[in-house]
Amino acid sequence: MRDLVELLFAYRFLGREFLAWLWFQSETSGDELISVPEQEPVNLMVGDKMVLETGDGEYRETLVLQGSHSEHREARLGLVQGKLPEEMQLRLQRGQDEWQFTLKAATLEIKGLKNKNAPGPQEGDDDQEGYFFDQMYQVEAVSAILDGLFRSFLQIRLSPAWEEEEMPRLLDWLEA
Amino acid sequence: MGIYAKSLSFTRYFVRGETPADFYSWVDERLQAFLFREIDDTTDEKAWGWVELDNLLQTSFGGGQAHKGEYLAFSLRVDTRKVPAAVFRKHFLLAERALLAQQKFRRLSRNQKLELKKTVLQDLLRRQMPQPSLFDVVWHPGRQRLWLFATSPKVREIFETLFRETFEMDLYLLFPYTLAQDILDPAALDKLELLEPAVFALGGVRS
Repeated sequence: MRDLVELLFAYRFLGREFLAWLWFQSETSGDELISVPEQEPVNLMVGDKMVLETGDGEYRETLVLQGSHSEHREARLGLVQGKLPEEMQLRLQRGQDEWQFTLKAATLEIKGLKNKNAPGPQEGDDDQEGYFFDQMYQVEAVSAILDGLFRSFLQIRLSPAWEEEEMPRLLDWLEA
Repeated sequence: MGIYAKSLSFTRYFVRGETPADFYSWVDERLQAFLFREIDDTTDEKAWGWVELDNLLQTSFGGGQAHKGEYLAFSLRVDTRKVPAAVFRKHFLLAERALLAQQKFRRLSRNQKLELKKTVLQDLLRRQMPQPSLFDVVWHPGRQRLWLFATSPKVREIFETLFRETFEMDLYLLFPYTLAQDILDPAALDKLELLEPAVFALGGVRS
């Protein structure tokens, strides 16, 4: 097996493309739910913060966008200029659950995960064990949804449909 | 930053490898063998080891403290002694002045300066209390998945080293390639090996 550090760098593009694809999915799905293999469908939205990068090492250029939805147009322009998302704030909604977090392309690590509708620890609550399982529910649910979405992305990315259908649609969206 | 925080930050791992039949008691033994040991009475700059989940001072795993349903949960404790740069500078200048006076204001040699820096740093480290930090770890052995509630590469490195040393199992960071490897069949994985980055720039035209 190839060295893991080498693979981390060699496939950096895959994580960035995954984030770009999620963004494309979120903006073109409208009110429709996005299906996730082996999971209930979800509503996916891109949040207000995005970091776009181009290249690696000393030639790396970064574009940080933070603010209203109108900046998404600027971010799309960044994509056309060859910058790809390295970090993206996402919102996932499924049933009563509404999660918000930042996803990083290189390691798919998650930062700042919160469920808007989770009860949280109760004042004076000494049931720490119960809270542990509540928290693991959030972690497991979001991990499984992201794995499912990554599976969908790989399925299309490695098939002829990527060049024939998905890329033309993606480029249309970028130019819109 | 941990499992009980209001907002959760984590890195994911795959854990693979052979495990003994009495897996859970073996885990307890291994954790017990790599416990955190205090460095308050030493001059060590850094130390790390396992403690009970979210509990700085509890270092006992003999009673199944790490077992939580299908999960194993514990914390990585890392203690670091740091001397603030300004404090070091002040004490170095004081020591330099004293040494200069001692040798009747003859200039210090390069070696003398290096030696003095080392001595001052050691002395200050001894007087500095180590700063503890905790990073929670939750492992689902059945599904071979693990969550480390930290995202800093430095913490990741310490965790990976200590985990491998403790359990002698294969631990892989989850990132796009390793996740793909977990998901894809061999034929699809071959396609991934040949994959070129997509070009979104300039209307998708490859330059």
